Amino acid sequence: MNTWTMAFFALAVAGPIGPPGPRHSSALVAEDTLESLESEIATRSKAGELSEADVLGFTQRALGLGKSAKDAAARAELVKLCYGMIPPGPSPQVDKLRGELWDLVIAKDANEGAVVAPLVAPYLKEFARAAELGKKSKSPEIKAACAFVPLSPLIAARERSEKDTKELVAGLNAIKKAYGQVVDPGTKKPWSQICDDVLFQVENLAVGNFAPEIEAADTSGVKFKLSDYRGKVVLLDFWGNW
Amino acid sequence: MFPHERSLVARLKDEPFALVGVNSDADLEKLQPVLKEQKITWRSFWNGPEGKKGPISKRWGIAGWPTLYLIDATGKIRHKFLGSPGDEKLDAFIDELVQEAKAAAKKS
Repeated sequence: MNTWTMAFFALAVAGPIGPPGPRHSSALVAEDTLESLESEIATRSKAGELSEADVLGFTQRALGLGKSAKDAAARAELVKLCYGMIPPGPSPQVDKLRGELWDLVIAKDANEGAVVAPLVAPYLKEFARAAELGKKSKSPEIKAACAFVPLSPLIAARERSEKDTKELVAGLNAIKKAYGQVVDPGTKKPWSQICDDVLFQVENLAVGNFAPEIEAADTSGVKFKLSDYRGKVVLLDFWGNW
Repeated sequence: MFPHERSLVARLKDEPFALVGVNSDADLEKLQPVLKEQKITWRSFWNGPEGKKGPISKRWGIAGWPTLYLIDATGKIRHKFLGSPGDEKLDAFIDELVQEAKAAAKKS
């Protein structure tokens, strides 16, 4: 081995030279980096050795890294890593992890919302602290998604009381007003459109409303209208051959 | 679904009733032989080449298939079912509205 290869070898072992300063919090396994953590996770999961406890452990470590990460991009990567790993809940441990992750996300800058919101959106509904977090968050993407959470059960309900309908319509209008221009990263639609779509359904498609018109071609290409059948009872059947 | 729908259409052929479909198959050509084989004689709107994501089901907020809307003779939505409520129940709801429509027609 000549001097050059030895120098290279030494550098490779020591790793890239980072900025000076405190290395890691005590919660971290020494020398954790995003790359090392990712490769460790990949190796372990390939070997099929990942238990739920392991996953929770890895998530804790990623979370620790995220807390000490200096820039938003690195933090976003870690948050992604965490969300990819957190097992589907609900369990007290999982809730706690999600809570910590949320705190990490909302404590930092607003731009992360666009990156993180699509990752956290699927968990929002089952996350009890959504309202609180929506208030604290700096990200309009997350704020809008959090404001939508308490409305989802009202939207999904088969039947709604007048009071619930009023509450739902008011909630949707409030989101429209505050975040109408904000694009939801999950559906890639602005919240004004998401709310309008639901408002249309609430206001026109509830039992007791007159059915909205449908004007379209039939399966042979001939146009017709739903109102052609006025005077008859219509069973409108949304179907498909699958 | 199809056998019950066929019998429903046959049973109520002389009554003020129509079964109207909104078909969400993306491939219209592949659907044609199915319509024949299954003897689907009732008319369906086609939801377009986007299939389940087509404009009609989107506008109507369809979250699952089949979804049924039972509309009375005046055009009002009277019942809404995500998935069939069961043949007997559905028949009873339809018959009730058909009787209502016939009674209203007699009055006027």
